[in-house]
Amino acid sequence: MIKFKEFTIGLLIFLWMIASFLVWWVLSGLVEPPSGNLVPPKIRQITRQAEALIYPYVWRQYIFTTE
Amino acid sequence: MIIISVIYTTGYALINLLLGLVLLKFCFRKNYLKQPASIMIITGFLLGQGVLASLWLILVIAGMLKFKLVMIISVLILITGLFIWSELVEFVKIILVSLTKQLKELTWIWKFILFLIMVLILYFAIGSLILPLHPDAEGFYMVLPKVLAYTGKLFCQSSCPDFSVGLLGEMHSAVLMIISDLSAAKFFVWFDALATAGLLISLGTQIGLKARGKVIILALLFTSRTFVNYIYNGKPDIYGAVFGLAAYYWTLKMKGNRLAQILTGLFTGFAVVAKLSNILVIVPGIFIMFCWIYWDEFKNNRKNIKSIIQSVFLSGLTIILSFGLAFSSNMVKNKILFNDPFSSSYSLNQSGSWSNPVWQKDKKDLPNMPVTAESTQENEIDGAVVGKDTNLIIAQSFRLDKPDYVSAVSLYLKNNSAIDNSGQLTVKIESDNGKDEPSGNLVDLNAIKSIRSYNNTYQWETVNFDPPLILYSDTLYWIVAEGTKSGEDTGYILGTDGNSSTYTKGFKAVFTNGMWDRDLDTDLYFKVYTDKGIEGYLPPDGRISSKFSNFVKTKMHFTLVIDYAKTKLALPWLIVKNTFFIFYTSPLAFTLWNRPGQDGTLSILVLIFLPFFFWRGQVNLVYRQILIMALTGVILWLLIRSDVIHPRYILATLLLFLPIIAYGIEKVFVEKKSLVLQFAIIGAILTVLGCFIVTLSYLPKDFFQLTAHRIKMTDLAGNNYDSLNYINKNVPVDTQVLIMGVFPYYLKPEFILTTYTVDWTNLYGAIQYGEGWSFVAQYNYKYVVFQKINPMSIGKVLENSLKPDRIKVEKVYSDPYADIYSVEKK
Repeated sequence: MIKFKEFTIGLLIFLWMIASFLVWWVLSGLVEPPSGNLVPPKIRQITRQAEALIYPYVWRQYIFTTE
Repeated sequence: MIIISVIYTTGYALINLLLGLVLLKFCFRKNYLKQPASIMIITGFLLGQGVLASLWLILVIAGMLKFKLVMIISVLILITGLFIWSELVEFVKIILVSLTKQLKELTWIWKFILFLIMVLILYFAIGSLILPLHPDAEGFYMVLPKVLAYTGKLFCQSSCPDFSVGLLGEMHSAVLMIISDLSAAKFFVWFDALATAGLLISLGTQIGLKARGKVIILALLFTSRTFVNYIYNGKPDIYGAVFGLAAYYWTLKMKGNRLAQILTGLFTGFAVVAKLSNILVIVPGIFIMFCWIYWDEFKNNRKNIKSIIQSVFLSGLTIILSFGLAFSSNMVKNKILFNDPFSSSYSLNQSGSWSNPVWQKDKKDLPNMPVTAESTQENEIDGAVVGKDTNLIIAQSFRLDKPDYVSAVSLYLKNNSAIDNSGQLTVKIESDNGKDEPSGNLVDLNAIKSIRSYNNTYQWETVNFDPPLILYSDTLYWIVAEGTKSGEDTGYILGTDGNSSTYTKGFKAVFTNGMWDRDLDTDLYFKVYTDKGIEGYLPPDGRISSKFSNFVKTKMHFTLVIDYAKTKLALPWLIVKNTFFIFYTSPLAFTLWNRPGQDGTLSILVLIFLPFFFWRGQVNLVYRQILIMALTGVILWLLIRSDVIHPRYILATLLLFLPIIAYGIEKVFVEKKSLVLQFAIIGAILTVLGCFIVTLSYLPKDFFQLTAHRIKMTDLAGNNYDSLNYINKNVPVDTQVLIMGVFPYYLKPEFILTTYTVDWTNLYGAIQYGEGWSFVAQYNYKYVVFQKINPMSIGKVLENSLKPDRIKVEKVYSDPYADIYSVEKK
């Protein structure tokens, strides 16, 4: 018999795992190689722009001058 | 050649192990055999490393670190090691039996995961042998060992301040370069990486992990970029991490165990020597654990307070003395170099202070340094407007009472422009021409800086000199301020005392119509700062302390110019106002986010598996103790040094979280919580491991091509190898060479010995006047190397600036990473 509480916790953890993995992998403009190397440059460019929105000003310059 | 490096390094690792085991056996005979075999092997290996590093440092101070002596000591250790050979074999047997038993506990899928981790570990071994150096290693970390290996002595020119850091990993690198080469030096770190893994597994055993949990620890560790990067890139951070973890391990065992107390003190000391930041994160955690253990003892045995107090005193003393012992050789080195056994003062002064708390938002207006000369602020009036159009330069003379290191000068000034177009104010320190006028000659290459202020009201503005200027007593020097921007209402107004001179050892002078007009009755408002924290700093101009004969003394020929253009962008955490941003993004950034200059994170698996930390059920005492030590270190670091972005600074403490996370994950399998979660966990581990293996799969290919002699080791060297090799082959000794960049590793060691590093702003003034090349020729540089680190660099500005007719500038070498020009006066 499936316990409801355990099932819910398990489901939430599973969703967390999928979500954090996706952020790292699919939007991996946010992370460094090796994953970054496996992501198409266009996606990387988009995620870099997303990253720039929350960065302090001088860091934004860094993002766009190093890639 | 690579195979030879592997053999040498393996032999050297064995020597470290034997020395450590011999010391353990003879000092702690009873306790020695009671410990688990694996932990004694790791402890022996690390103890040997710590002791040998101290010995090598003493030898280098004595100027005796040479091949013959290293070999004699190594052979002696090997012979002594014969006494414990049978025990070593016994230890290995026990470990093999234990490993076999634990392998049998694993299902096929976990065996497959373990196989992939082993492949990855093998890749990192290959990487440590063949991958090029990290730029930091090319600029500093491997440069010191290279020259130490070449000279066998301390050398102290521009690198002198660098020696304020503890030397542990650097000493092993130097010795391995003496007996073999760079690959051997880098490969040694791989053994420390294995020791790190072993310590984490041992901590895992303490909290109740089974075989599966230990495989998870390995997966988390070897997919953490902030760890694996340092296995192969030449930076010594893993030394600090492995000693820190050893200190944590023995802390947990310290109750009533003298061996554990001594090892806690020693390993903490070695960890701090290897990475100074460990003192802020490891020591508080160990102190809390110490209090915890003896508080428990007090609660359980309240009647016997006297014996508990005695026990606390003796244990505390043992740990402190052991810590001091591990630190002693570096104290000797610091005493000799900086006249201060506890000195890391130079590097601390560079970064400002020990702490840069998150709540600190604003810097002080004036530097927190002693003032060695200043005028008095009385009857303030406006000085003349200093701007390019006004054709006016203003100067103030001063004298020092004693020779000193001048590290900053402040002027009281305001911007004359309402619309902020005054440009910069160039501030120089010039010598006197013998007629009580500025001579036009800088007292040092570094004695020119710029100020830019947007304030229309008076305030103190400061320029810093790094390295500091050496100025002598009873000599007249001049602070010369010059505007740079054309246009009406531009320039700066310098605050001046009005009625009579308040400063008796100097006076103001104004340059108009081609001549200096001295005004003996007025003074600019100024302050000249000295820096007591760097009294022992030895200047980069050959004026080296004659007291210590083992320094290498040479005349400088190579100038490395720090190209801040990139650094300013890459290291923006130095800006205090970003501290709070760094603070609140830190927990996430440790695993997910590679902020500028962060240089790696913990494995993404740590973030993916984070929920299992909260869904783990009952835990034992050791689990709680490890968690408390880890949290103490990380929280303290975030609060007081959140301006430092790198996880590597607190690597040992961060790695403590790996067994904690692994515990929660293993519970999912042990308690058979959910089949879907089990699949998800295995899938995540396999994907991330696969990701690493795929992207690093070029390593075995390169390795086999090297061993088959299809490519040469130099083909895999860093970007600056070819250009500096050109210099090595074509530039005669004693030639002045200017390198726009800070990566001298591939220069010949005899050339590196003659390098010193300066702030780029000494050239900046000249470049902004279009006189950069004249400046280069004036200082007799025959070659200029542009290391192309960034298109925005000041080097690029110089390279593209106009070459005057009177100077012959010719490009003699070019590759994608560097250009070299020869310079000749016509």
